[in-house]
Amino acid sequence: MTHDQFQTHLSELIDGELSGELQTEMKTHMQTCEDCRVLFVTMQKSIELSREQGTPKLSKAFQRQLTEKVKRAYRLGNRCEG
Amino acid sequence: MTACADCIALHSDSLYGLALRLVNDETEAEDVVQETFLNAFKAIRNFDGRSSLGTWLFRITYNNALMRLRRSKPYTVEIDQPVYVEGEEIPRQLFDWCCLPEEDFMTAEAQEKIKMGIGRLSEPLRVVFTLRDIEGLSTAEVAEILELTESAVKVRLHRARLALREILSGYFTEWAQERM
Repeated sequence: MTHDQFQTHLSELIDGELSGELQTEMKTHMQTCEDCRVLFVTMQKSIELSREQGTPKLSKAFQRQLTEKVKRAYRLGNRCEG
Repeated sequence: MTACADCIALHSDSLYGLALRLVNDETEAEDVVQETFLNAFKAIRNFDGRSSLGTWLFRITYNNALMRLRRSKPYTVEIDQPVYVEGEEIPRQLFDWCCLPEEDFMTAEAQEKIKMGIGRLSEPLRVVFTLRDIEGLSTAEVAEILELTESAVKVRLHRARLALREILSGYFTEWAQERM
């Protein structure tokens, strides 16, 4: 396996989407190729760190105001149609 | 109309997360979320249920954020920002910085670097990365939201991951080398 082939299938390896044979080939390749191993672990870590950042939260006050605005707009729309 | 309140409570944080990562401004992101819900409730009769409500809302959010981005300023590239173009995605930084202790990644500085790293991805890569890797949507759902094929989503996701890895390696390699 070449570096290019390894890099092409890297995301699929991380997502567990590879066939058993290709998966084994890539894992074997990493045992002898330090560059590809580093590429794998640092990409995996980058995803993990981004995921851990999570979703930013809106304040409850904003959610309440938004709910009121949407309800008002919806009522107004219905009145206009009726 | 508690359905309205429930819907906002259930979806608004995720939609805000996507909007914020796209427009990179808290107030603008709040405006995008507000527009999304107003548009959605106005057009609720057109919602045919072929996709989930969440997917439909993500699509409206994406379109609203994109319109704001295009109105505000054309896409610019910072001087120190690496440009990733076709055929130029060969990894350049190959140092294993994963050896850094976990607490180093939890510092405010590291968290800011990660946030900035995601922010430096180009918009087409950032939106796929956010929906797929941060919000945890499936490839099929992301394809539907962005009106792309599933293979296009996979290609963009892979490019986003390569680019982000490269950017974060730029930050964390230095830290790891200092500890050696």
